[in-house]
Amino acid sequence: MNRLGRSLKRFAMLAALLLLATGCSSGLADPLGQSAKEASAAVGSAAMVLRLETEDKATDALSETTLGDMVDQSTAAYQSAAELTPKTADDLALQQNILQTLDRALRSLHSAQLAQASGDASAVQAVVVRLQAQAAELAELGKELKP
Amino acid sequence: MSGKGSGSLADQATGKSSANLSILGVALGILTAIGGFVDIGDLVTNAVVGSRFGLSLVWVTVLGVVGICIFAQISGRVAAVSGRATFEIIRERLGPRASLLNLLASFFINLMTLTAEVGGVALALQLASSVHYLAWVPVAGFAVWLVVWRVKFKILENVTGLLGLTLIVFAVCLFLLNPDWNHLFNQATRPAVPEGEAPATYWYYAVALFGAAMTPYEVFFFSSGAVEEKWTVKDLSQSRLNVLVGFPLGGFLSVAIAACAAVVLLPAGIGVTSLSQVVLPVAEAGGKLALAFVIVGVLAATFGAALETTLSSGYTLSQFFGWSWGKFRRPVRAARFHLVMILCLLVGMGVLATGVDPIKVTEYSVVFSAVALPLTYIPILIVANDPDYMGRHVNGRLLNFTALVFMVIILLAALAAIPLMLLSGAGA
Amino acid sequence: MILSDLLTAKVFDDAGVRLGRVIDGRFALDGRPEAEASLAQARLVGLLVSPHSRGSYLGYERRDLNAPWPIAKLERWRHRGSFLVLWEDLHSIDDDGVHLRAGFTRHDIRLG
Repeated sequence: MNRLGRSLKRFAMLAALLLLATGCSSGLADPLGQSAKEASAAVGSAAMVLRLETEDKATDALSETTLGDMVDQSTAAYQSAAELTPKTADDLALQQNILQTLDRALRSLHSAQLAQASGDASAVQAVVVRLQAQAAELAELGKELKP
Repeated sequence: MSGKGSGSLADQATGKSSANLSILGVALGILTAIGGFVDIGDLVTNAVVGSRFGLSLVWVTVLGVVGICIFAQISGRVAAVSGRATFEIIRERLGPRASLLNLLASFFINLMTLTAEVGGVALALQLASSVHYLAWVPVAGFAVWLVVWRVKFKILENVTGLLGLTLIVFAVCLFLLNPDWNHLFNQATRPAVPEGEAPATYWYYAVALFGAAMTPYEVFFFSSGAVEEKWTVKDLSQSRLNVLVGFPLGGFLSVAIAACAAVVLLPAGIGVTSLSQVVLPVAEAGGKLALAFVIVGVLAATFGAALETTLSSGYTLSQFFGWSWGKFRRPVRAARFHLVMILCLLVGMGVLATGVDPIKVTEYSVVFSAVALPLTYIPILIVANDPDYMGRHVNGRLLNFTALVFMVIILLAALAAIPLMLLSGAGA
Repeated sequence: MILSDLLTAKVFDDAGVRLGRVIDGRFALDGRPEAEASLAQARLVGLLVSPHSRGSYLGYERRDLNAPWPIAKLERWRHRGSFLVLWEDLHSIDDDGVHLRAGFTRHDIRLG
């Protein structure tokens, strides 16, 4: 009986620990932060490759491939953020906020693709500046939500 | 190519000039081993780790290189002395049931690696052409089959190995980037989990890096290659030199890949998820010329590894079932061996055609490689101690001791791999 | 019958007490050669029976094989109490496994 009691106690403690662990991550901050970080990396890479192209260090093929990859990665980040189901009003507001930021990043990536394809140097430079700012913004958000 | 030419000259040459030419042979062997060391697993894992953990996991690469040196050397000796390749030994030593399980696991992981390598070839071709990689997958698969079918073993090994040497551009670019060497040195010598990363993720990538450096197919290929090239005891010193010089230099290339990512991508907060990001630091440092070199290098490294894994799939299955195998036989004489390779290539291409990310396949393949490491290395270690196979060439005490220490590390990595994968969400 | 039919089969003594499982066969190369130039044919001498494990002995049944010692130790422990029964000592083989005849001899498993 005593042994059973001890093992029950141990089991209860383990369950409590597990609950605590899942409870901590039940909020949306963590997965949303992850999405923001992934998108930040993608937008940052796009900015980097376009800057390299304006400095004549990257080939057309590399820029085009990188931009395509980064659109894919940002889309995936957007999708995983959109699939989360918020339980509180705070979570909902947070999710909306992140989705809007991700949406802006995706639009910038698309205009980056257009600028790169047209070969318009000034358009590329403008989009690089915008991408850099968005990468920094997303990185900040990511760090706040998922330190 | 030049290697083959000098080899046939050496056959006709008199004593003195053949000594000179064998230096050339040694150099060729070492260069091939360097270029052949790096594959898609090393490229991706090192770049990912460098971009997220800096050089704080370099110790794992060092550990992995020492490990692969020890076991490749042992398996080369076993093959040269006994004339038996790895899976013939596994079949003989473990008995039919245990070795069938071993075969299934090894074969599955090799197939996964094969898929990743063919995907790597396609991704490299996309970097060069901007045509989507899925369009390149059939081309890559067909090219691999054609070379495996038609080209002599020696040539396919040497050409891809030598072209893979262009990856040295990573080391050159590291110098061009003019990094803070002190900072890099500190990262490497005082490893710590960086801010914003979980310890489980750190250890997950430690296991992945270990698996990438010690991939079992290298041993299947190495030992079967020794049988293909009809090594004898006389070739042992050459093979030891290839391994002991070539692999550490290959490991040096791996560190250079990680360091480039650590210098350029880590500060920008860019964690690598695609091959295009792997080459960004090279473009940053060396421009289009360096970019051309690195794309040739990636192409050669992945293509070479695709050949090796394709051959390994044929080797393992044929050696297990006792079918005649080897490229030294005409394909008609080793029909099942060639059929297995064709089927494996088709399966790999089929998997890629589903649109699964080749980089993800690569990441999983190195982790599962780590899980399967003991399956390959324990039987080799046992047979290397068996005087019935090895005569007086059994392992010495010191080598046995080192190999056993590594066995403990290998077992730990294998046991930790899956739990760490679950804990870290596969490194997310 | 092929050897695979016997591997991992249960082994019983004449009273029906379970002794272990067949882990290997032992052969002698002293049969009559099939043709003049061929090797002597293998003759099945007996079966190796292990009480604790159904796995292979990995070659450590040989006296001179002791390295690497942790693996050798582990294998010898896993197969402690194993013995060799000669083919003559077999009574019958059925679906349950191998039945030994009364008064069979446990031979030393070690070779060499």
